[in-house]
Parts: sequence; structure tokens; C-alpha cells
Amino acid sequence: MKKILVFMMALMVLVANVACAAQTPASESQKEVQQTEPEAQTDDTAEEDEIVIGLAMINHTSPSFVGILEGADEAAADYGCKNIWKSCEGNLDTQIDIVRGFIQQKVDVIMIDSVDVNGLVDVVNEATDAGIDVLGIGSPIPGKANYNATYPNKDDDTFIARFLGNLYKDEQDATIGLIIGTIGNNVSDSRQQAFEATMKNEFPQFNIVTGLGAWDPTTSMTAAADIINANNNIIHMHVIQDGMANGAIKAVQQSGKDITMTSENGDPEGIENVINGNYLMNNLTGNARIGYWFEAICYYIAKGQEMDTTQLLHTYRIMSEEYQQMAKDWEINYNDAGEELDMVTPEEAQKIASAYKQEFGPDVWIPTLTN
Amino acid sequence: MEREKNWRIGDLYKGIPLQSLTCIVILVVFIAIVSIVNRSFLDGSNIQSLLTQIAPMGIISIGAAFVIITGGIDFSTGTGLAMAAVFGGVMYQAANNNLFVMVLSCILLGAVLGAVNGAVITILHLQPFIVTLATMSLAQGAALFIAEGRVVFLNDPAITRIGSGNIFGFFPTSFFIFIVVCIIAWILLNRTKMGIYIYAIGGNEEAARFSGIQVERYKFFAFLFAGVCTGLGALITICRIEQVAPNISGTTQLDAIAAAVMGGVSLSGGKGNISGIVLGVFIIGVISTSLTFMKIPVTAQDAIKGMIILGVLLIDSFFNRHVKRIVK
Repeated sequence: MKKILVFMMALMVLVANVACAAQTPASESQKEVQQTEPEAQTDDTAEEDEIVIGLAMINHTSPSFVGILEGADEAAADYGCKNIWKSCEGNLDTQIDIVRGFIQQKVDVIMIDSVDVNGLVDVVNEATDAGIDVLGIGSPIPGKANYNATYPNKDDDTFIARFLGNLYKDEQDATIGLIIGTIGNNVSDSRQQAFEATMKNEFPQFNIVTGLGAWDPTTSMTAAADIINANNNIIHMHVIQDGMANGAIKAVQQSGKDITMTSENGDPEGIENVINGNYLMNNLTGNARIGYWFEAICYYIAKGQEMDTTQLLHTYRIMSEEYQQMAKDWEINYNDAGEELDMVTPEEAQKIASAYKQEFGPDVWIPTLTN
Repeated sequence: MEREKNWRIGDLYKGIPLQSLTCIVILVVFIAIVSIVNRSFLDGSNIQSLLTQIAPMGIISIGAAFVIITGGIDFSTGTGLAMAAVFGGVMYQAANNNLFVMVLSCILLGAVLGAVNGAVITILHLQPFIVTLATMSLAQGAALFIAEGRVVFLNDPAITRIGSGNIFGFFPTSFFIFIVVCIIAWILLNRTKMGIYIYAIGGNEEAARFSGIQVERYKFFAFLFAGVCTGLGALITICRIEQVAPNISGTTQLDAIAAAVMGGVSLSGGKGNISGIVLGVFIIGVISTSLTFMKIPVTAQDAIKGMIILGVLLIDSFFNRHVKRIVK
């Protein structure tokens, strides 16, 4: 009797999983989800021409990742692609298995948000040898012939550090808090390194205290609260991602101290916080925007478009006109290569963040090729 | 003089469990060390912050302890917290920003999760380890499904009062709720038939069954209570950060189980008390907070935290064995 009950329960779970997978792409982890786009499949020829992209994500829990997925799905519809999503829930071995699964499925392109870029090199090279192109997103994968799409984290966080350093240059014996994601994540590491190095080299008078936010608002709030309580001379808190900043800002507000904040990503609430003065500035990448951009790159890779193997996202510093002028006066609106960095008002950022189809859509954009 | 001559070290802590005494000593010594390194550790604002931080972890630890004392384990509290929080937030919005609905929804869904765990384990006689791993995944998927990837921001003075308000001008409201849960749990474990039976089941399940105890019923209640605690922990968490997202549970689950074990709850069952769990919660909370105060580099914090916890457990074990011998 017990065995029959167990068998029936297992069957029910299987049926539920299949039902959920058919309806809600992001509802279960480690589960294959097929994104169907009936509008793009008008006849058998269209289906054969459809580009199939395998997406190996880290997880489905973070709202940031969900935003990326939504943008990519929109791009899939516009570009006539078909997405197969899988999440490894932060496990490297699982991600390797997922990539191998995509190789066996003979997808056209594999998009990977790496748990560990070095740990994935072998399997990425396997995919390349099997004739399948790979795009590493966010964190560049050092494979032999894959593509990478990443953000100019060094330029972005160097700018933020220089902005703060100049803004508070008259402060003596001050502490600046920095909330990062996780150690070993390339995006977190590169933003942290750029911020800390700039502060150390150009503004050594500031004490930088770093806390782990673990990409979730609860941990970020705790980390921010501890930093604030441990450092009575804290004047500013920088958080490398809006999702975490949503928690850190509560710690700042509840402390009752005069502490300013900055953040990155340019999520809708992050831009709102610049408008209402809670943040001095933000940095626009945009979750749906980058998801759309990744998908568009995959399309052109599959089509054999000539392009740079490393694609760099164009980012925007979100700040008031007053702060933009100050940045120009301090001459910090250029990166170390002498290229001008774009600065926009929050209202302009809102338009850019939502106009990603016009920015990266079919027939209006192609990946960069420098030579 | 005769009384002093006959005085023994055991007279010092009559009535206080030995496990709790060693926890108190460890906690006091640790706080002293951190305070010497950074005086701000004992500032009122930090004490308040610490009490606020440990409240949700402590509530979940109490619930986890009930399950562990019966000889089981519950891995679903972390994702269960996220699921209950998301459900509570969605219902709050659906009910036109009704706080009562949110409170009820969080606790109810936590109870449902606990009841599912308890029912599957007791009716089908499956191992809690496997069942709660499965419900952990189920809860995570449910949280994503309900939230649809959105972050819901809560803007209500009552929510702010629960999450960051104070009672008597100092004690965080959330910590007060934790103390109430501790009192209820103490009464259940020490003053009710349920508590006696829970210890008996954890001590020797077969003997308890032969004694006529309805083992399945009380194991179910233990998981149900743990689920209610998970829901309550979810409520306090979302009131604290004033938002709802599917990734808000952080490391609460691991810290909660570690706190219970550190406070003397035996993983093999049948042993543990509320005072020890409270001390364990404080120790874990103080260790987590102290890393920033002692300026431990962020790259080493996880490793240092693990080493400190291990060190505390070793010291605790040493004192329990050797002080017991001296006392006897």
C-alpha cells in the first residue's frame, strides 16, 4: 500500500512538473523549459530556420535574473529564436552537465552565465569543438574560441569612486562602505576591484569597508547595518547592484545617520531613488535591456556575423544635471583610454531602460567590430 | 565557615543547565574580546541592530529545534521562508494593503508547509532528510511562481513598526516577538504532554511507541510548529526589509540550525532546551556581526565564521565533559 502511494505521489509530482514547465518558464529550477513563439512559426520552413539557443543560468530566484530572462524572451520573439532555459542553482557540476546537454541537443548557440568561469573552460571548448558557438554573459569565459558579452565594470566603478572621492575630498578620517555580491563572481569581483583600487590609489584618505551582500536584500541590509554600526565616521555606502541596495537602504535609513548612497544596474526603483534623492547616482545596465542584448548577440553569432569576440555593453551614468556638471568640472567623465562616458538624467535613463528594442532590435543594431 | 568548606563548584550554577552555562561563558568572553577590538560593538545602536537581526533567525531556530528534538531535520525552512514571504506580500496587495491578511497569510502558508512535511513523513514513514529536501525545492519553485520575478515594496507604518520599531524605547518589536515565541515554546516543551512526548520520541522512538505514545501525531505537531515558526520568521523578515522578493531568505536556515545545535539540541534527538537555543542564537548572531567589527577581510569572513563556530563547539564539548566530572 505504501509503495503504491509513493508511486502515485511520484507520478503526481512528474505531471505537475510537466504542467508547470509548459506554462511558466521561470517556475522551477533544473528543469528544461521550452519557449514557444507561435507568431514566428508560420510554416515548416520558418521552424527549420529558427535559431535554437540554450541558456545556462545561475539561478531563477534573483529578480535581476528574471528580468534578464524576460528581455531575452522578447528578443527571441523579435529575432525568431527559440530559447531553452536551464538553471544550475549555483552548482558548477550541474552547469557543466547542462552545457553538455545542450551540446547533445545540438543547439545553435549556448549562452552561459557562469558560476565559475575557469571551471567551465573545458566544457566550453568541448562545445566549440562540436561546432556549437558559446557566448559567456556577464563574466568572460577564457575558452579558446568562444564569445563573451560583458559590462565595462572597470570604467563604471572607477567613475563612481572618482565621483565620490571628489565630492567628499574635504572629509577627513571618513569611511565609505561597499556592499558586493559574492567572492568569485566576476561581475562582483571586477566592480569591487575597480572601486577599491581607485579609492586606494587616488583617494587614500578614505577608509573602505567591504561587506558581502550575497545578491539578496536581507543579507545586504545586515551587512550594511554592521558596517554602519562598526564605523561611526561612515559618510557613504556604495552597493554594486540595485537588488541588494533595496535592502541596504533600509539599514541606512534606520540608522538615522547622514549617509549618502549610490548603486548600480539602473533598475526602475534604482532610478526612482536617484529622482527622490535617496541615491546620489546610479549606473544603467538594465536587466531586460541586457537580456535582450545577449539574445541579439546570440542571433548574430548563429548567423555567422563577423564581430569582436568580446562585446561590451554601453552603460550610462544616471545623475542629476548638477552632478553631471560637477563630473565634467572634475574631468572624470572619461575612462582611462580617453573615451567619454555617457551621463544621463534619471528621466533619460528611464527612457533608455525601456527602449531596448529600439536600441538592439533587428535591422537597427549589429554587434561591434573594431577591425 | 563549614558551609564554605563544603562549598563545591556545582553550587555556582545550581538550576542552570551545564550546557547553557558554558554557552553564557563563551558568549560573554567573545563579546568582551570584540568590544576590546572595537568599542562600538557595545553601542546601543549596535545592540538594537543585533537584536533585530537575530529575531527571525531565532524564531526559525526554535521551530527547527522542535523537529530536531524528535530526531528529525527540516531543510525546507529557508525556501519556505521565501515562499511564505512572497505569498504574504501578494495577499497584502490583493487585500488592498491589509496587514492582518499579510500576517495570516505568512503564518498560514508556513503552517501548510510544515503540515505537508509532517504528513508525508508520518503517513508514508519517509526520512525527514529526503522529504524536506524535496519540499525545499517545491517551496523555491512556488516562491518564484507566486512572485513572477517581481519585487514588491511595502509601504505601511504598521509594517515599519513591526520590522524596525521599538518597545520601551529600546527593544526591537521583532525581538519581543521572538521572546514571546520562546515563552510559548518553553511552555509547550516543559509544561505540556506534547513536550514530554517529543523528548521521549527523540530519545527512543520505539520505546515511546511501546509506551503508547502516538508517535506520528506528535512528530506531525513538531513539523507543524516548525512551519508556523517559518511563517512568522518570514513575516518579520519582510517587515524588516519592507519588501518581498523570492530571494530574501539569505543564510537564515543554516544559521538557525547551527544556533539550535550550538545551544545543545542534539541532532540524534531527545535533547535540547529553550534557554540553550536562545544562547545559541545569540552566539551565532554575535559571531556574524563581529566579523565586521573586527575588520576581518571580506574574502576570509566565511572561513573565519566557520572556524569560530567550530571552536565554540569544541570548547563547549570540552567543558561539558570535564566540568561534569569535576562536579560529580
